[in-house]
Amino acid sequence: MTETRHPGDDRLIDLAASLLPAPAASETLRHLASCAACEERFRSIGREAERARLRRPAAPAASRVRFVAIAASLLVVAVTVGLFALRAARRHDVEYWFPVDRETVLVRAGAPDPGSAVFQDAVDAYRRHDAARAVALLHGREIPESLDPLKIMLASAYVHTREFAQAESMLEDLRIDTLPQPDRDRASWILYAALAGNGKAAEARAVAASLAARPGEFEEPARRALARSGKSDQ
Amino acid sequence: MSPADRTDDDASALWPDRVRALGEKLRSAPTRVEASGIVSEIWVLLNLALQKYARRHAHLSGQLSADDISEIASEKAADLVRRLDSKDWDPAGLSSAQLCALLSTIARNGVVDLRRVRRREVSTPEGFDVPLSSRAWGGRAGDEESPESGVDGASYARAIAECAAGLSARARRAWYLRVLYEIGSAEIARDPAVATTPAGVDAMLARCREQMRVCLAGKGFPAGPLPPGTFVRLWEMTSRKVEP
Repeated sequence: MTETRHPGDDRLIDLAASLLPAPAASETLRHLASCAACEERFRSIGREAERARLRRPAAPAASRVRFVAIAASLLVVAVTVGLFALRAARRHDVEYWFPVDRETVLVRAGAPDPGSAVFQDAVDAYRRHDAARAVALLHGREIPESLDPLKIMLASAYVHTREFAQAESMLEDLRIDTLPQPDRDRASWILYAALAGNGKAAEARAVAASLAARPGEFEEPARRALARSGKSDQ
Repeated sequence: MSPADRTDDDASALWPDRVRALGEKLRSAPTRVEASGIVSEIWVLLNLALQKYARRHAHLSGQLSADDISEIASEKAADLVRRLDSKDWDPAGLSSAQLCALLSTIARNGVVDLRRVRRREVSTPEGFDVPLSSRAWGGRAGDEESPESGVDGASYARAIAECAAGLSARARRAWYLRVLYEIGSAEIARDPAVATTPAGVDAMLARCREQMRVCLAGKGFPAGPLPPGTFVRLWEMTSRKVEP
């Protein structure tokens, strides 16, 4: 490295994480010692590495795990009965599959390009009810506005993989109230499942009540869901 | 080229391969303790990488504060570690380029989400780099001497290391975290090597500052802003040990 080439962020991360071989580390450190701005950037990265270490998610201690296991085994009989009933009820909410077809993606994506292949694969996976695969293909990937139905599909896939918070977040970004019908109701039903799965019972009930209050595809399912949640509240 | 411009992905970067290798290692980790150590290293690398990308996206779309960037990275890294833990995500299954692209997208989404939340808020962006200040030493703002005080970083670093050797290991760790990284007392208190309350950290640091001032003055160095090069020398002296 010459005096005029400043180390990039990647090099500084490698250095802070002690990944660089000794000669490269020495060379970089020599540069940092003579470049105040670079030293400051490195210090900033070092600070964030330390802060990350201090904030790292705690691993459960073995004794705690044992305690939890014992407690869980004592409770398991009582809880199993309740869970079975609850799951049976929730399954109705989770089982919904958003209707999406390959043509939707092809038509909306316009001219074929390598990037659209992954969307088509995701649709195929979802249509096979392989939600995990659809999530794996689309999670973290930017979905263009022209493919908004895919966002609803992905939210539904998250519900199926029980990543309810992700589903909720995705639908929130979509601004369901701005969607055309029938997508608005379909997205609302998925949102209901996400909220219910996320333990946000009151918000879930509000969504279900809104769906139950108007004629449509989800009028009856929403009424049944409200009835179930009413029973579980008693 | 300014140092700040050097944010492009470096094809020779080692951290993506390290994350992937750790992911592979995690699959066959024989004990919970070993798995926890692996996850800890992945956690730090993900935080740093996500911060890098978040900074880049924040720079492109309007700045967020350093704390915002840190918060985004931390939240997204926590999500990835949760998925790693539940075997829902495996970095070993990705190429380095795919891993970088994924992290970049995740960071960008975090930036976009936060900016959406803050859209209507008026904020004062902070710089990402907080200069070492006399406040870290317990002085008042405005007390700072010019970095061009004639003291070279290497000598100052040696003096600091010698003086810090007189502190207990616990106090030294707390002092380094504050002076080198300006980390707050609440966070320092959580460090396993420090393990005390935030008030305990404050009291410990007050004693350290006094001891360091006296020691440095005895060597002819005033306690003040560190001259350029000091941080790097100190890091070099200490990074291969447990601290800081």
